[in-house]
Amino acid sequence: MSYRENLRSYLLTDPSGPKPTNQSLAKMLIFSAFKTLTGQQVTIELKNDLAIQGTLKSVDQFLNFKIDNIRVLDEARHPHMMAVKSAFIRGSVVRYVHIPAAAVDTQLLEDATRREASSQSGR
Amino acid sequence: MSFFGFDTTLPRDKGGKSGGRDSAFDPVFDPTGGIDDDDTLDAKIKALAAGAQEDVEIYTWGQEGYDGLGDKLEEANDELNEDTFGALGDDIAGKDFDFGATTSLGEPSHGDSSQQSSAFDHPKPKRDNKNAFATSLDEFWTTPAPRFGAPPQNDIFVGMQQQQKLEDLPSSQATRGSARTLEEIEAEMLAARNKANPPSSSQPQQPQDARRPLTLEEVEAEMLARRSTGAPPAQPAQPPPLPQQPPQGILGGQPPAQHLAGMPAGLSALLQGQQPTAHQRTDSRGPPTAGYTHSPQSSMALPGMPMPPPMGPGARVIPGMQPPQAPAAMQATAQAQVQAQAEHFARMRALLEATPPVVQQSILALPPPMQFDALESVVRAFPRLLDPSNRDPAAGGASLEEQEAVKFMMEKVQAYIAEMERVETKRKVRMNKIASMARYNGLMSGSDKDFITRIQISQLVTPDPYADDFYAHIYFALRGGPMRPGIGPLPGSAPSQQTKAGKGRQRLNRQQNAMLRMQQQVERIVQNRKERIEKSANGATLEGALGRVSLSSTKNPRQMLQISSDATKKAEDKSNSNAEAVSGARDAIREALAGASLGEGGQRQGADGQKRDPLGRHEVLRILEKLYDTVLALEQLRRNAPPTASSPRSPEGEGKSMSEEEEEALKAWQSKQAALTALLWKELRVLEPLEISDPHPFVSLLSSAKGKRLLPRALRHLSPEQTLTALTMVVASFETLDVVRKAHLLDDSSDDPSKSEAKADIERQTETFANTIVPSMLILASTAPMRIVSGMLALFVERNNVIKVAQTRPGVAFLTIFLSRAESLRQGGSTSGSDGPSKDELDQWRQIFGLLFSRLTSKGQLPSLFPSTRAKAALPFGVGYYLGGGLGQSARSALGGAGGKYRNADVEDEPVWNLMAALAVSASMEQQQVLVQELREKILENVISAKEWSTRNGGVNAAGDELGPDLRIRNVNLLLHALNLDAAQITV
Repeated sequence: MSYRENLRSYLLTDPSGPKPTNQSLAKMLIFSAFKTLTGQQVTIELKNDLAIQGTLKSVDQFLNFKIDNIRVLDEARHPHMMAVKSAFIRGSVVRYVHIPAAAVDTQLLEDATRREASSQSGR
Repeated sequence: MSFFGFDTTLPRDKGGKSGGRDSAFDPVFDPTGGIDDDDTLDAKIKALAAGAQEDVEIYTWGQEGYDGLGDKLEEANDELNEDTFGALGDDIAGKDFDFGATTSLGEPSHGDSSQQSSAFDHPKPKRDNKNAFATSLDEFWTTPAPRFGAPPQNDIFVGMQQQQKLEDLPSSQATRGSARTLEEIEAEMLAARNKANPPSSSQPQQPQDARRPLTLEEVEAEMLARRSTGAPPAQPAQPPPLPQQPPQGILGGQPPAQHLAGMPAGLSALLQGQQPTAHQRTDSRGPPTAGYTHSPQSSMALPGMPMPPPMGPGARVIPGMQPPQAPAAMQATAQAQVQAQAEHFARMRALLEATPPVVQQSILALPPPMQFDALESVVRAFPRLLDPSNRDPAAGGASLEEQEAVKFMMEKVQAYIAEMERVETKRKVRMNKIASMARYNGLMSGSDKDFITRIQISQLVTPDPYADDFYAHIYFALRGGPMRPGIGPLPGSAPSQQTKAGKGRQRLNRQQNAMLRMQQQVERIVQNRKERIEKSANGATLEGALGRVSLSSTKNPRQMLQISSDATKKAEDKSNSNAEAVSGARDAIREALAGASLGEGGQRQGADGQKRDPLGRHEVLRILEKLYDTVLALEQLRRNAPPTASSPRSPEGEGKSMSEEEEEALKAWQSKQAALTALLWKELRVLEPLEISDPHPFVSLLSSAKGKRLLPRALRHLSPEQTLTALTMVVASFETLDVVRKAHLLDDSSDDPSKSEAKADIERQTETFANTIVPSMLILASTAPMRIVSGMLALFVERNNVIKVAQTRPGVAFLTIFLSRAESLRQGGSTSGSDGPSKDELDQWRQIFGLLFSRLTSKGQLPSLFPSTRAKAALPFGVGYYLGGGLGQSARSALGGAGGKYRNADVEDEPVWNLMAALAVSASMEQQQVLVQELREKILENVISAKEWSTRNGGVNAAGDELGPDLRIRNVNLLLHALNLDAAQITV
């Protein structure tokens, strides 16, 4: 963590700062799950109907995604995206993320959900 | 200050600041001025040690992070300091850093500027020496790139020392001057300093007349330009001839160890007697390089040389060799190392002597830092060179081999130079990058940074980091994730691991080191923050107060309205009280029932037991969630288990006896675990009376896939007795399990869409059962004694409709488990004898098996155990219609179409054939005959259809039915082999 990164995160995140809500609590679990998916092939559907497929490089707590070797699914409609090889996607513009089923441990995810639920109710 | 406490202001902004601690990070501002004493030297060395690291590291992350290597520096060998830095009287200590002295004395009496500048001018040559020293040690010949920082950490300390010195001075300062403001003084000093010292201390200095202050950027740019146009300073191909006398210190036969620590001494001695201005490094190959360069002519001509001429260059070479190793020497100047190096030098010298003169010459002609390597590689590649007998004295000139050696060496040197060039380019790229990023320096104000820091910290602070990252943590633990430092150990567990690791391997590489420090730093900040949150949470809550002083994190957002938690609870209680009363009463009844049943071991008959409605679906799910929570808590508890006396302790553990505290912790842990286990056991409802409801609550719990999956996990935390009880319960109420009750759906071959969903569901449930409860049973059975196996089987036969149960996959699996375990026990008993079942037990087993056998075969229903038989029975015109006549092919397709899974029926048959084989093995002669009688038709049918198939297809398996005939024969053989028969013996 350096000044440079300070700056970077400043530029990339919502300048008004995160609004701590229950949503951000639930986000931790999703964030945690996405952390395990780095290196996997994912398809990210954006709210503007752009669907981008690529290798997930990293995720942060705002669910911003960094993906490599990207390919737009509907290339005929989005020819301007053909030259783009990697992308940083702001978390707030994501509609869906398609993830490989084999890379998700469903039972563990259930357990994690239970843990979170219990820790939240315990508060 | 920024997040990690380093200063990010630009150098040019710094001039205006007060010199204080910021100066520590300023490469331009050199607070040590020109003072030369040991402390300053030490500070310099430390700073250089820091500067040798990457630029990220220059920022000290707090004093704890300092590795203390600088303290190990050798303090000795200072005799030559005077030679190096010129005679240093007390009276010429610099006064340029004299804030403390003047202010504390209450005498704001800085001399007039002329006096000041003279004070500056005087130490300047010595400064240059130090610069030369720094350059030579650090990056003697690679590049004179600017060093960011290289700050003496204890400059304040130095300042105090100076202050003391100044106080000692019989100075007229005390009486001089009038009061001036600090700004004035500073400005004056700044001017004086800039005049005196051209900036960027380790830079090649500007010519004397160009004494304007340069910014760091300018210097960099200039450097880059110079490096790209001119010959890289890294490769002084031709050493400039040095006319001056060789220094006494080097040639005077001193032990080489002296030179090691006294590098600067040797250097300065070299330069002794020159004009100070001669030190100006107008060329990028500065005096250090030149000083070390060997010039054979002059050394040959030296008077009083203690060594023969060939030896001389060798001796001269030695100091030249030092620079590449000097940083290492700085890192650990332990005496042993010095000695080792001395030996190394001695060895090198000997080697050099032993080489033939041609090679020697060419080695010595190389740039100094390469000489050692070149020498060594040559000797390694041409060991024969060292043997003087190989040399042909008559030849006079160089032998072929010698020439080869020289060639070889030159190639090596070429490679080396290429390598250096590559390093150089890399460095250049890096410098460019840094320079390009420097544009953004100072973009954020202090409060901006504070703001970001607050947000970042609020993201990091969490009461339970483990819970937040549970999924990723366990996932990586299970599947072996990337051990990236970012993900690595959780914040909670990090400190102990890291300190251990730090002790274990001192030699982390730079990046690891920086990463480690960063982690620790972040950890500390987060910890502080957490503590503050806790404190404020404890102190500032007032009942009913609106708002409060609190620090927020994402997990604990700032509450705008503080409502006492007690009040909310009360309200909730009230609303819940009615519902609670109802369910509470029911619970009480249930509890009472459970308590009553405990004494009677669950064998109460339904007549005197109270009936109750079976658990509803939602009730089941609610209980299951509770159970999962309990299991999760238990698993968590197990992970955090305190070290027990029995568990292997780390070797550095404090002896054998546990401390009181540990024992306490262990006890608390145990009691907690016991409580949770008891809760788990109670909630599983295994011990409720068998007849309390239909199905039994425990069976209801197993009716969902969730419950099936839970059971093995729960059993891990229970005692063996409890496991046995639970599985006995499963066996006893097998008929009521959903997978048995609804198994008939699986045989339903109709394509009714209304049923397909139920069918898919039961298929899934059966699958889950086979993956969870069957393995649990298998594990239990694999260690069970005969008595228990008999008991289980008896219970199974007594309490269930055997035929019905055996028509299901789970039933077949359980029966097979019991039979095979009993068989292996019987065989084990007959061979080993010691551990085997007693005669009584065997008798009992035989009885129970007889019962099972008679039940299975009683109504001629044995073939109905086979799914294929049941599937055929469901066909409209019976089996015969399809198998008879020439309809074979179409019948098959009809079967395939109607049954959906005709071929799979054979696959599904396999477990049943296995069960039959197990029956056959355990059966007596009569029983075997009955078995064959019963299954005769089934066997024949399989064999015939298989043979027919192969004849019809001319022995070649048709595509799409590869498995069919073979599988059928194999299935039959499962049984026949158990009877010592084979399908091949059956003739149709």
